[in-house]
Amino acid sequence: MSGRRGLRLLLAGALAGGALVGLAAIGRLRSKGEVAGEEVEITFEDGTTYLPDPGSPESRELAGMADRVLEVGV
Amino acid sequence: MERGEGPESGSLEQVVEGLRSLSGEVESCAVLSPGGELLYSSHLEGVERERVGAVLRALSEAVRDAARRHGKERAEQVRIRTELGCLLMVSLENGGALFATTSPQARTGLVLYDMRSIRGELVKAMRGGRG
Repeated sequence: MSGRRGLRLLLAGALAGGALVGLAAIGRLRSKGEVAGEEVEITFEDGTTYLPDPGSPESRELAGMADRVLEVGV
Repeated sequence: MERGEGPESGSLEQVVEGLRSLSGEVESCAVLSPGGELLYSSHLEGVERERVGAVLRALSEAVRDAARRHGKERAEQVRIRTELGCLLMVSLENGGALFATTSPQARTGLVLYDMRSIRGELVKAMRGGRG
């Protein structure tokens, strides 16, 4: 019986560990996605800086254009 | 690699090559004239070059619109980082623009500094003279 209990504990541990690894991977992907698409910074002639909100249509439009040339270089 | 065209292309090429040697993190460069003509590109003639020119013109226009919406005359520089890399733009005093691409991990502040530092020389090269 103790052998079966040990096996159950081992399985439960493996499942819990797998779930944790999966959650961590999802977290990494989500944070990567947030950073990835949308870092736009425009500096005007007077030195002021404008950072469109990540995810805003303006930011996505500019990042989309950037991606089109980054795929092949300029 | 194919570079610019016309009698001034040699000096323009030299200036841009100077940037590439100055800033090892630059992967490719392009120069747009004040009128939006692609004067220099790291690309060979062909579809990619035309496509890149069209996208850079559209990007310049979008940035110009953003400046107008904020009551500004123009954008001095632009930095766009995506998972594919960074696209950097520096405006030239004659209305043209210099573009460069880098990896996502590049130190873009240093690259932008180098891009700004060659602007004067680049404008002279676009005029076809050194004086």
